[in-house]
Amino acid sequence: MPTEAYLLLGGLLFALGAAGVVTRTNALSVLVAVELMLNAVNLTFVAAARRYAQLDGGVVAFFVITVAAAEVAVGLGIVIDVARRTASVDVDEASELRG
Amino acid sequence: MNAEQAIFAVAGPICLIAAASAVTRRDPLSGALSLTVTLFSLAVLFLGLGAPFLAGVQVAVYGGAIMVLLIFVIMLLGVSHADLPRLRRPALQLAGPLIAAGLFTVLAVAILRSELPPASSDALPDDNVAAIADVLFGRYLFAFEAASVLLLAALVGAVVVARKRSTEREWPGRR
Repeated sequence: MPTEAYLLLGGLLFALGAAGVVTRTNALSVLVAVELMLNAVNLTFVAAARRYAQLDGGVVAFFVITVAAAEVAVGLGIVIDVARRTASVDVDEASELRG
Repeated sequence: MNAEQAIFAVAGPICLIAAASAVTRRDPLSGALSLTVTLFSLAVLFLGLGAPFLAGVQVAVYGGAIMVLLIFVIMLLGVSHADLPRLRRPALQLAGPLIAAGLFTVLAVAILRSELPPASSDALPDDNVAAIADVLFGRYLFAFEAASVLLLAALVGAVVVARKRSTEREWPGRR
């Protein structure tokens, strides 16, 4: 397969995830969309690693997965705290800083 | 059609359909389960790309740990069909497909118009895990250690953020 096919698939997944982040109002759905974007990027890293026979792309994808794990843990902690305060997981409800 | 093309032809569309389902389902649980399908099909694509170690990490860490955590929290917060968020921003809901289409058009034009440097003629080493270990614990050793500190910080941070506040006991009226 040409590398471009993987890049296009990654671009499509990234665009879907970005649209999800912008349009969803449920914090958990937003997290799901963010995970999708991270995975789209991982796919391009692995495809580039194969194309140039360099393992660095795979190692970077490994670090992206690590950071994603940290991001999900903290993100879900925040969602639980917001749900406890506002009795809702709607991102529009957490607007106390609007002033 | 070689093995890689067959893998791409099968896993690619599955990945795409599951991803579209993951971002369009209103129920976060269905979205999370669709995302799990996406993650597994990506692991299959990684296998086709000659990265079995990453495919294993993808299944174990992403499909296992991260998605279990996410689904656990969705269950914990008890999302019922009654209190699904209302479509309060219909204009934004309409904008979703437009944003996705616009962003993908830009990315696709950029990918197709750019000339990638020619592919390397040599293949990735067959002994993938050992070779990755050499890179990970050699050139990326500092990043590896920094990642372990990051994970510890995230672990402590998540516990601190998600625990019940002591102030809630002192000032029960405060929300």
